[in-house]
Amino acid sequence: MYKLTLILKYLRRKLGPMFAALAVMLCTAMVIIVISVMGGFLDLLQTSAKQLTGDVSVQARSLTGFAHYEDLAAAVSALPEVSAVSPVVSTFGMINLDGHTIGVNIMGIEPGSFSKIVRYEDTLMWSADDMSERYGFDPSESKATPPAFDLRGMAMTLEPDGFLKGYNAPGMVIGVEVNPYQYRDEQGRYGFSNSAAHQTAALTVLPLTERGAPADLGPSYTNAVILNEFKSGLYEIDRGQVFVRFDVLQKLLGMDRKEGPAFDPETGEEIPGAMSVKPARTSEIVVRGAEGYRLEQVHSAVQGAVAAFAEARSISIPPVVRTWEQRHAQFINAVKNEKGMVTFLFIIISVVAVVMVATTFYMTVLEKTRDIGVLRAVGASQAGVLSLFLGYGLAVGVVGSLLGLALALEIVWHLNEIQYWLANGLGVSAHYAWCAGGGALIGAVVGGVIGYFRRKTLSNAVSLALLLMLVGLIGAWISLDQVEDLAYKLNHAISFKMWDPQTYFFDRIPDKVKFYDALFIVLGAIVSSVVGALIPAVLAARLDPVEALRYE
Amino acid sequence: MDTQTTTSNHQPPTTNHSPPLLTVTDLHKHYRIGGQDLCVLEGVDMDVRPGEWVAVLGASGSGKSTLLHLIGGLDRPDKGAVTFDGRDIFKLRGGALDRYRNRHVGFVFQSYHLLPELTALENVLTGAMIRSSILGWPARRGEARRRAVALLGRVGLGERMKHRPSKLSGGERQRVAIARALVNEPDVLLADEPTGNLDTETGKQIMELITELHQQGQTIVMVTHDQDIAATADRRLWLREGALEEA
Repeated sequence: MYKLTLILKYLRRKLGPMFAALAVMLCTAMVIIVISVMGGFLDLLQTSAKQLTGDVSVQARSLTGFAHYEDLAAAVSALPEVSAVSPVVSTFGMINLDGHTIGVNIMGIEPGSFSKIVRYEDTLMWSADDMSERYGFDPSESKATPPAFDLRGMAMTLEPDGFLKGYNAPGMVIGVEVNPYQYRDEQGRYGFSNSAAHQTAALTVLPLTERGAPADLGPSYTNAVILNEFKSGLYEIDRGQVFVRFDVLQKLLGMDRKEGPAFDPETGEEIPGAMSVKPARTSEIVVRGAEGYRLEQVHSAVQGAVAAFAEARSISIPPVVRTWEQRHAQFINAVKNEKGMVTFLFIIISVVAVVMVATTFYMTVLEKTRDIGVLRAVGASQAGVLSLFLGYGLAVGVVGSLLGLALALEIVWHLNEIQYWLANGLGVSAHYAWCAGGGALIGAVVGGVIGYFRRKTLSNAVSLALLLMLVGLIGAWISLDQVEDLAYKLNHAISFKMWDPQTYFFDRIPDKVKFYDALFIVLGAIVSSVVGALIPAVLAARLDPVEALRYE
Repeated sequence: MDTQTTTSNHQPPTTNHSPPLLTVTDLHKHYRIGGQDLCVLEGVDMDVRPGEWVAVLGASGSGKSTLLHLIGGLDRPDKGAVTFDGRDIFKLRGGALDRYRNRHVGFVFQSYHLLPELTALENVLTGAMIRSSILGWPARRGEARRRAVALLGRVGLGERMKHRPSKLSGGERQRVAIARALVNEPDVLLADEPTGNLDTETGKQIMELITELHQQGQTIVMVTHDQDIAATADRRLWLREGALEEA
């Protein structure tokens, strides 16, 4: 029983173990934060990568796409390993929105089938509710939602409806960051009032012939009505991707089926009555695997179908079949490497924590040598003294790691707010400056009053009055404008962007802590503390009690 | 040995004809200091009978404290035996020697040796806590506490139980140490120069307390270099050149 009493007393009364607990706390917090953020980053990346491209994709090796994709899609679709397929045509192009022209990746999709494979529907930002909130329209009062207000419905067909039909232009869904007027507020949210929905924008693409040369007519363009905005969470995508209907983009790129007069390849003369058909082309077919099949099984099945397709059509260079992991391998592996490296570095730091605990405990044992002798004299056994110090290490570990867990949770959960605060000059503002100034003044008054009552001398009060006058003068000299100016300058000087979304693909820092990660790290920290306390505890237990009692 | 109860407390003083409670036989102890052998005890023999107060006198460095440590099972001799209740304590196994120190002897040191983090009451309770496991403590706690409070009252510190040693005077600290030594009702109180660090007046008060304990039947072995203090004891022994002789 004395062990528990002493451990509790030592924990509260000794500075050394507090430092040890602090070291354990900081190490625990650091490891949890790093594992959470890096792990969260990796998870996010993998999820996003998978959701952006489906399980398996069949990609053309050239920007000109591949023909007879309908047959291939049908063949792939018939595979038992496959649950859905959807053709996608994609190209680089330009979007001119309200005079702002930027380069984007334009994807032509069939929204219905595309949405079954790639996350599309739940990335859409705006709905009729946002419209009604904005324009004071209550959908429950009206008999039916006016079609042009059904932003989600329109995005799911990519077909303008209602009064938007009047534009006589195809529909389009743009990445939320493509819109130059869109920005995030302090909480990182986008506002509907800045959305580009219902606006028109010009799309320009460069059609290529089958052989890859620019087509005769040069660039082609179309106006399109923006029906909705999407946010995938991947900054690159949100900044540079728009969706239009498959057939719209196909036609714009000249990749649609073309019929024309046939010419004799030898004479170059038109063959009367004969027709030449140029088959429609696509860039890619995205595939979703069926339930119960592993990714590799789906991949090899699709590969088989593509090989058979190439064989039947005598295509020498068939489209390439890749899983989402292969497609994003470089990217994902880079992050995996980074996570591994950082984890390794933090294992080293944890070893440092063990050594710190060992050092602290060694000092404690030295300091407590005589007490150990006393305990032995009063009847404590060697095992008792050993377990006293091991228990002490355990207590330091438990306290330190739980505090570390709390700190880590607090930091990870608020990482985005912390980042915002740092990026905006450590939150310096005139308001805070005035709060600090006011606090200082109140502190001075309280301190002076306490000082006066403790010393009971008038000179203290007089000097306090002089001090307050000085503070008042300085306060009067620094007008509000100057404080604001100072705050602005400070802001500018010390702003620190920890997480730049343009570098880090995701717009938010991952802020989830996995239960088992945290549990594992906390237990690891506790074990480390006990290990750190082990050698000092053994030394303490082996002390000769008579020597210990003589120790000065 | 564990079944031995501490009935000696209420026996009348000086029962010299009863069988010895503690027998020291041919005790040898040497230290090696700086490459030289220093023989401190060279065949010490003594008996301590229940209720007896034995004072061991000797010059400083004569080995008085070593003898006391050996009797208390805190140190091991080169040769010889300390027999308590018919058994050589140095042949005890499996924590029995720790239990001997905990239950059958109580140490009082010259420089008190209280644990600075604990209050006076907690210091007194240390012996009782060591005796009890965490699970056993709740059941024993009330009784142990009552006894510790009573002991502190008896040594005149009833009002200062919550004070830590740093807030107590030397005499008060020694009283706490005496209370701590008595908390498990030991058969023998081992006092090592209990007044050595105190001024004459305070030392006298401590001696009065020890005398009172003795009158209530407490067996005491006290080592001192001060003949005046030793004069209160039933029996005085001199430790000279490693052996004991009656004064």
